[in-house]
Amino acid sequence: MAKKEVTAQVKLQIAAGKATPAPPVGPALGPHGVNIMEFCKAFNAQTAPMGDTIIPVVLTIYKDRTFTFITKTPPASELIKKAAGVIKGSSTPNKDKVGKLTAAQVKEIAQTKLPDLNAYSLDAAMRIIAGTARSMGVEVVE
Amino acid sequence: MEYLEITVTVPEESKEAVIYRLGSMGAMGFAEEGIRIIAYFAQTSSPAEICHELSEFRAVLASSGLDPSIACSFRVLPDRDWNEIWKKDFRPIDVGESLTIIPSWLPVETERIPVIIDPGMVFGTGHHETTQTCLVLIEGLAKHHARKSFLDIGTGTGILAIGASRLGFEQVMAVDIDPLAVDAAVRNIAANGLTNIDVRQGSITSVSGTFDIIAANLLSEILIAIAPELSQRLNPDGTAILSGLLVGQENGVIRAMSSAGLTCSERVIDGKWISLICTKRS
Repeated sequence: MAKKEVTAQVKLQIAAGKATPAPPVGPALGPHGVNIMEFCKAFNAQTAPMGDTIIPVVLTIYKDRTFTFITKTPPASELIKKAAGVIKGSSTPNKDKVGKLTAAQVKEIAQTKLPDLNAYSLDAAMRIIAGTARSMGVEVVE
Repeated sequence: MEYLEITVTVPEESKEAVIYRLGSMGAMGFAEEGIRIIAYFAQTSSPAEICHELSEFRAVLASSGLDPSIACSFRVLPDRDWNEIWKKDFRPIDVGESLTIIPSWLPVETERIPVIIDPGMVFGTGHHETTQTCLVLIEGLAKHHARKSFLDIGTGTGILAIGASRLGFEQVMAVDIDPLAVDAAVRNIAANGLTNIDVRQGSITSVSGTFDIIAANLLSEILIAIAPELSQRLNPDGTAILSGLLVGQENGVIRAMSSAGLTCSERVIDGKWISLICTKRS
């Protein structure tokens, strides 16, 4: 069977179980002629059990306007908050710190995120995770 | 409603930090296009303030060991029907033995029972496997029931309620928590010339009375949560059509319905979706 021709790949980050045709879904999928409501229904059914979190999703859109999608690992910030035991990051991260991560926790998050980060090595991924944590007011300690 | 579209050019290594920051500022969601992050906000947000805050965030990125070279631009995005390109190819669809779903902008040219729908931007276009399965099941039940009362929970475009009315149910009620869905359902019911469907905004708790058939094409978590309420609104020996479940999600729903006094005796699988038929134990 011939493979279907891919016309676009679309990357979105949407709240689990709460996709609607409003932005970002509508403007991202509408121009490709995809049935937006069908995507919302499928995404919501698959991600609603994941609770209150943001889910990165990559859609592959084919020439016949059908699509497939895969969900990715949660954003680094979600994993950082969970590991540090904080509800949210600091609004003034250079001044007020809200929590701490150990280097081991940074490594663990980097390993989880490595498939979805544009990083060539675990060290590079760890640098991104540690930097993201600091930018949220979460200190990285030995 | 208008939206605010903020486009941020950002180095790869700083994306996760910038996305979190935008999220904490109230972004509804994101699209990623190469080195650009496109964040969407309600139009009540101030684009100048968002870009200013991002500008100040550069110092945080730098001190965090991340590349701070980000740039911000914005535009106001008018609300529109994003489905319009897809709708151009929307054609009538035959469903079951007797129904044909027809888009509202096409002439009704069928010997079958027409269900006229403007799919708009709410759930229930008629193309989805779960919608079609529900309609086929309603059609089957209509042959064997007295066709008196029908409740559609989460009606979306109103397609299941309209289908039930067309198939002879005398008293039909439809509810949805989304005001846009209620507006769409009211328009579609009028387009079909039907007068026996009562549409209300609200959840199942807003419904009084009991029904012979209840259809709920929702999510597994919602079906589990509303099982007791659903059971209370079903007549003895009444039937619930439960859909919107992915294969593998049905057992939790079956357990919840059983605890609420329903027996789920039939499963209909269409692709990755599964629908259940459950009857209230008398």
